[in-house]
Amino acid sequence: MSSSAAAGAPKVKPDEASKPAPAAPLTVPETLKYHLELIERSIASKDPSLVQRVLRYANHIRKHIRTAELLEFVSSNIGNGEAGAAARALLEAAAALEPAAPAPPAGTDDASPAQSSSSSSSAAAAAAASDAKAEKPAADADAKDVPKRKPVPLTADSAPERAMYIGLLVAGVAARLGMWEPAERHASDLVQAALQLSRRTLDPLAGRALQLMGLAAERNGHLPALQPMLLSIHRTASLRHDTCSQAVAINLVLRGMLLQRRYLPAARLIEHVEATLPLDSSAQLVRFLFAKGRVLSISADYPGADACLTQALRKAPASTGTGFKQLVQKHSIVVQLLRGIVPERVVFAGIAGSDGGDPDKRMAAALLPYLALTQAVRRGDVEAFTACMEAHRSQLEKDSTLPLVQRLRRTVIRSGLNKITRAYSAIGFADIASLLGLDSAMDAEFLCAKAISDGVIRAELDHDRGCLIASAAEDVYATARPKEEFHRRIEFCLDIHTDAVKAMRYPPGAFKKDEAALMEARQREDEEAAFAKAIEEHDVFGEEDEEDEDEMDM
Amino acid sequence: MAAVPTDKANALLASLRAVTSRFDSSAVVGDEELAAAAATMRDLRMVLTEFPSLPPTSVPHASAVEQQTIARSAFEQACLLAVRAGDGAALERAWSQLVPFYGDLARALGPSADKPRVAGLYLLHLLVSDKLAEFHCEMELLSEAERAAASVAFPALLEARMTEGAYNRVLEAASSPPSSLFAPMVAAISAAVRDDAARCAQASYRSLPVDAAAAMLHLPSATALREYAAASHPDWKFESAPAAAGAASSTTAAAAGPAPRKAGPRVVFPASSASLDAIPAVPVIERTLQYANDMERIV
Repeated sequence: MSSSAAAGAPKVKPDEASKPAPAAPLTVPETLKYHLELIERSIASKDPSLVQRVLRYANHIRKHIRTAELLEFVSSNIGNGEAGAAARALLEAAAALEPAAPAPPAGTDDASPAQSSSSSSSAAAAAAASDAKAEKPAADADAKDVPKRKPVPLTADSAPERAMYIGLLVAGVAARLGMWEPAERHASDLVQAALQLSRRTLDPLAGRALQLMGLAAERNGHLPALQPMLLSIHRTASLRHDTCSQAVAINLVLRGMLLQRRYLPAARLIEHVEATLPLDSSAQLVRFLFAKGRVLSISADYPGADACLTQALRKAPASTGTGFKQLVQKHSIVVQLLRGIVPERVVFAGIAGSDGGDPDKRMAAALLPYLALTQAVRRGDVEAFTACMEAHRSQLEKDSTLPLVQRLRRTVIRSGLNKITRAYSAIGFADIASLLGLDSAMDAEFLCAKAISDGVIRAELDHDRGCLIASAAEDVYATARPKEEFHRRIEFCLDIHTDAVKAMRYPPGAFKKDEAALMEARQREDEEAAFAKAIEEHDVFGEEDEEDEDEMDM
Repeated sequence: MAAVPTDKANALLASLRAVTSRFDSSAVVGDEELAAAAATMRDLRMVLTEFPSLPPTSVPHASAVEQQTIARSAFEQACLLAVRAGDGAALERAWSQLVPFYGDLARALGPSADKPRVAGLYLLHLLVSDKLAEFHCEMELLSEAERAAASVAFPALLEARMTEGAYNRVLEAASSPPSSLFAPMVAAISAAVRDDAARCAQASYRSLPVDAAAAMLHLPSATALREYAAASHPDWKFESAPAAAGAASSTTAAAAGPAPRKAGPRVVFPASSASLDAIPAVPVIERTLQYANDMERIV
C-alpha cells in the first residue's frame, strides 16, 4: 500500500520537477492516506496543530486531484454509509465535467500538462479559490516531506474527522469544476454535521467547510440570504470557543452585507464584533480588515480606511490570494488619493510594499486604470480625470470603487491648486479658474479660501486685487509635524508587537519542564516572606513583647 | 384569523394624503389641520398594530402585500408630517421604520411613488445634522434612477458643493429647493454654510471690503454683517478707512500691502494663530515618557 509504484498519475509539482527528488514523489492517494494518518495522530495526541497542517497540505494538492482517484479513495475509506454515497454521487457527476486527464508519462513533462488541464478548469475557480483558501507561507517546505514513518492504524476515534476531511476534498473538487450548487449542498451538509457533533478537533475542518459553503453560495447568488444562519453559527461558535468558525461566519456575513451595499448595518456589526474577533487566522483577519476598510471608506473616514487597507495588504499571504491582493490594492490606492496622498510609482509596477520584491505583471495590468486616474489627479487635470473615469467606468463598478472615485473630483482640484501655489507667487482668480477648468473666478476664490482654511495650501487671498498670493514654504522641521510622523510610525511598530504577543500560541506542554522550577521558586519566596515577617514582629521590643506575652497566657 | 382592517387603514391614509399633498405647494396649512393630521397618524399607527404581516413578525397572509404597502405609505406620511413639524427625532424614527420596506421587501412591493421625496428629505436632514457617514451610506443604497430624481439630486448637489467649498454655489442651489417642504432645512444649512464661509474667509484674507464680505456670506447688507459678526465673531474689527500705519490695531503685518485699497468700510480679520510653528513642550515630554515605558516593557 505504501509502495511508490502504485497506479495513478505520479504527482510532480512544478518546482519539484527541476530538482532531483530525494525519494520518489507520492501519488495522490498516498498523500491522502498520509493526511488521514496525520488526522489520526492529531486526535490521539490531542494536538490541533496537526489538523491545521493537514489543511495546508490539502491546499497544495487540491488542484491536482483527479476525480477518478478520489472516487477510489472515497470508496476504500469512507465505506458505504450515506455520507459516502453522497460523496460518490457527487464525484461521479463531477467526473463527467472534468476534462480528460492526460496520459501520465513519468518525469518532468507531467508538470505542464497537469498544469494546463487543471488551469483551464480552475481558471474560473482560481480567483475564487485563491480568494477562499489563502495559504500560509513556507508551507512548500512541509509538503515536500516524504514520510518515512510506519503506517498509523486508523481507529474509530477519528472517523468523523476523516469523513469530514474527505467530504471537504470532494466539495473542493466540485467547486473547482464549477459545480457550485452541488458543492454548496455538500458543504452545508458538512457544516450541519459538524455543528451537531460539536467536537473541538473538527473545528478547523468545519471552518474550512463553512468558507467553501459561503463561496459556493456567493456564486449561486444567495449569500445575503444565509445571514441568519451564519449569525446563529457565529453564536454557537463563540459559545464553544471555536475560533475558526467564529471568524469565518463573521466574514461571510460582512461579505454578504457589502454585496448588498448595506454599509450602515455592516459598520454596526464591525463595531460590536471587533473586540472579540479571534486573531489567530491571518487569512480571516485580512478579510475582516478589508471589509472594515471598505465600510470606513464609504463613510468618508479616509484615514481609518487607509490604515485598515494597508494593514490588510501587509498581512496578506505572500504567494497566493493574488485576486484578493489586487482588489485591496485598488481600494487602497483610491483611499490614499482621497486623503491627498499620491501612491508611489512602484505600487503600480506591482511591487507590494516598498521594500522591493519582484514586480508582478498581473498586478500591474490590473492596476492600469488606477494608474491613469492617479496621473490625472496628480496633474490636477479635471478634464483628464473625468475622461478617465468614464473610460474605465465598468471596471470601476466591478471593483466597487466607483462611488469613491466619483468623490475624487475635489482631490483633483486641490492637487491642481497645490501645484499652482507652488509655481506662482501671485496669480489672479480668473487665471486659476481657467487653469483648473472651473466655471468662474468667484468659484475659484471660494475654493482657494476653503483650501487655505483646511491647511492644504499656504497662501493668502487679496480680494481687491483679485489674486492669490502664495506664502513662502515653511520649514517643516521647525514645526511639530515631524513629531507627529514619528509618533505614528512608533505607534504602528508597537501595535505590531502587541498583536504578535496576543497571537502567540504555544504547543501544549511547552512549560512543563519549567513548572517544577517555578513551584520551587514560589515556595522559596513564600518562606522568605514569612521569615521576614517573623523578624519584623520580634524586632520591636517593649510594649509589643508584653502584649504578646499576655496573649500567650490567654 | 380575524379580518385585517385594511379598509379602515386605507381611509385614514387617504385623509392624511389630503393634508400632506398640500405641503409641497405653498398653500397655507393651518395649525388645527396639522394637529388633526397628527391625531389621524396616531389612529393609523394603532390600526397598523393589528396587521399581522408586517416585519419583523411577517406572518404570511393572503393580504400580506396589501398590508405591507399600506404600512409603507403610512410611515412615509409620518416622515412628511415630521418634516413639516420640524421634528428631527420623529423623522429618524419614521425612516428607521421604513428601512425594511425599502430593503428586503422592495422587490415584493414594487416602487413607491413617495420614496424620492421622503428619501430626499431624510438625506437633507442628515446633511443638516452633519451626519456625513450616514449620508454617504444611505446614498449608496439608492438606485441610479432614484438618485436622478430631483428631490434626491438636491441634497446630493448640496453635499458635493459643500465639500468642495464652493459656498456661493451652495447658497445659489439652496435658493431653489424642489419643494417648500425643504425650506426650513435649507435655512438651517444656509446658516451652517455661512459659518463655514466665515471661517474660511478669516483664514484666507487679511481684510475685506464690507460689501464684498456681506456678499460672500450671503448677508443682505453691511448692517446685517455687523450684526452677524457681533453675534458669532466678536474678534472681527471694522474700520472705516484704509489702514494707515499704526491705525490698524489687529493686523499683525506692519505693511498693509502695496495694492491700492478700495476706500470705504472694511472688516479686518484677526491674524491666524501660529499653531503649526510652536513645538509644545509638555506633549513632547509626555510622549517620550510613554515611549520609554513601552520600551521597558518590551525589552
